[in-house]
Amino acid sequence: MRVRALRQIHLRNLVTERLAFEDGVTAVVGPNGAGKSNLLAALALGAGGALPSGTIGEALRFGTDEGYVRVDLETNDGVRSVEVALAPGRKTIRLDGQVVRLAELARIGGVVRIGPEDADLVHGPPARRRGFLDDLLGRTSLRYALVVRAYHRVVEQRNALLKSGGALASLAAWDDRFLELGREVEGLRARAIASLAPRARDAYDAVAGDPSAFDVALGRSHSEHDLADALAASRSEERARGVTVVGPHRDDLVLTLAGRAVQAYGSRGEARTAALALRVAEFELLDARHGAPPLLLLDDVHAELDARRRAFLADLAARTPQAIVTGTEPPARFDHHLHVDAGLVRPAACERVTRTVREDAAMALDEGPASDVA
Amino acid sequence: MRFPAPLVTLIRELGRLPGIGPKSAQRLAFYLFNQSDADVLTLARAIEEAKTGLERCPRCHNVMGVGDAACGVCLDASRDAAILCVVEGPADVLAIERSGEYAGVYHVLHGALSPMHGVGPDQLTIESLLARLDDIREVVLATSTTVEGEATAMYLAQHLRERAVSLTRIAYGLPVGGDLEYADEVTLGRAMTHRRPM
Repeated sequence: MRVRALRQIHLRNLVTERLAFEDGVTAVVGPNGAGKSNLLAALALGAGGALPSGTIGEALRFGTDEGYVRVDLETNDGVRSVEVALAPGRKTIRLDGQVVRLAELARIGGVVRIGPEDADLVHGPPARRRGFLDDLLGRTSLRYALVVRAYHRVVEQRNALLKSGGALASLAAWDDRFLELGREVEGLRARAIASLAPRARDAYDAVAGDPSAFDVALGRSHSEHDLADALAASRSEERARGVTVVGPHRDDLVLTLAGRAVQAYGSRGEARTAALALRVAEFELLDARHGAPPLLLLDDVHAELDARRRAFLADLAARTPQAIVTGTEPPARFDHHLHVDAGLVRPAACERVTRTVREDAAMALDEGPASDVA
Repeated sequence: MRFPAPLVTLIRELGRLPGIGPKSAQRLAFYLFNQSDADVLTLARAIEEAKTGLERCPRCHNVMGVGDAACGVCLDASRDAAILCVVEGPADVLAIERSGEYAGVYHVLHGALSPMHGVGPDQLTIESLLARLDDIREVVLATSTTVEGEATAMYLAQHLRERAVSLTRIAYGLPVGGDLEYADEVTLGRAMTHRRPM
């Protein structure tokens, strides 16, 4: 998937409302706080329907309560337009003008964002890794997205019942559905990890330069073979604590190097490589799923990584039809160069920029919602 | 500036309705303010009469007029009183009636199990359902396919299993007249699992 055009209103500090993008590697360069990551967040939101981090309120320019992003994407089925309207706590996604669910948007093509906070994938809490898995699986299977949502609803209802202490007579009514959905989530996750693990291992080896026996496995919340046995064994604990203590909502993604947990025993560098390997595996899975390489967004990764990992990412960026790379310095290789300063994005070394931005602003006033372009 | 008290009260009361947020409540309030007296009084009377003029059928808990012996379905002698269809609300009765495919009687639960909202078996009409099973041959569980509807069906199944009735769950699958390619994966998956021989 490739992005052809971006249009945005009120996204954080971004001033420039329209930008065109071409194939190849686009370097987005500027000082810290200039808006490079915000530009990437706008692209991630348009192409994937989700903000990389933070709440919708935080994604909007200070003092505004509505925002808008539109991207034109070149997909297997031609050019599609995605519009995302943001208001605090509310996000409406339109695909070619029709309101769609997030999971439906994921069908048109893949987008992968690699950023400095990916270190959390290794050192963060299990919820961070479950989130990675759920997000990836939800984007490759609408069925997974729906099943996992129903599962979480059942867990919430079960927990409310357990917390209420009394009336546990109806707990059995929730158990059947809990087991049915829980087993399905466990099964779908196990299947996904079976195809994720070898790709992550290859990526790790490629970065490290030699075979490293990196492995990704599903860490279950229970040692029993079947979820039903685990649930039965946890009866007294869940009643005492008032929460469901076993099930896929307690799963973890276990990352190991030669059998030892990266989290506990890995060096800083090994942890970074492991996080990178997961992202590359995501890239490969989406590539296989859509039959076309995903749009690659690299957010300020060069400051974080050593020469070897930088070279690996540069190769990945060169291998995919389109990559957008941010940094305070341009990367070693790039085809297009955008400069960002104080929210203003313009082609580097180009003096006609101010005029173009003004023109864009005038066009925006003609045809779109009101905006306050500087 | 503050709104006058009657307007504030109206906005607050409208805002308590399901699906109505503060902004919609305000818009509705101003809309009503701008309507003619006659129209607004007609609406007010309709609301009042709906409340004072209706009660639950003593047999099936469907809605019926105050003073009636039972609801229209229960009074209809041509219906097969040995088949009982369990639904979440009166709107579900209407939906099934519109299909014209069902000739049995109903039992309206007035909700579905939802511990998060404090709804347990005691808040539903389950006790009176269990009390009316003597002459019933088949119970059709037609609660919705939401997480809560499924749990309610499961709860009923667990309590009806020992009784001498045959128990069925309404089938789910593809919408009639719909294109296969537009069905979502879950619906299609279920339709495939519950396929039938021809």
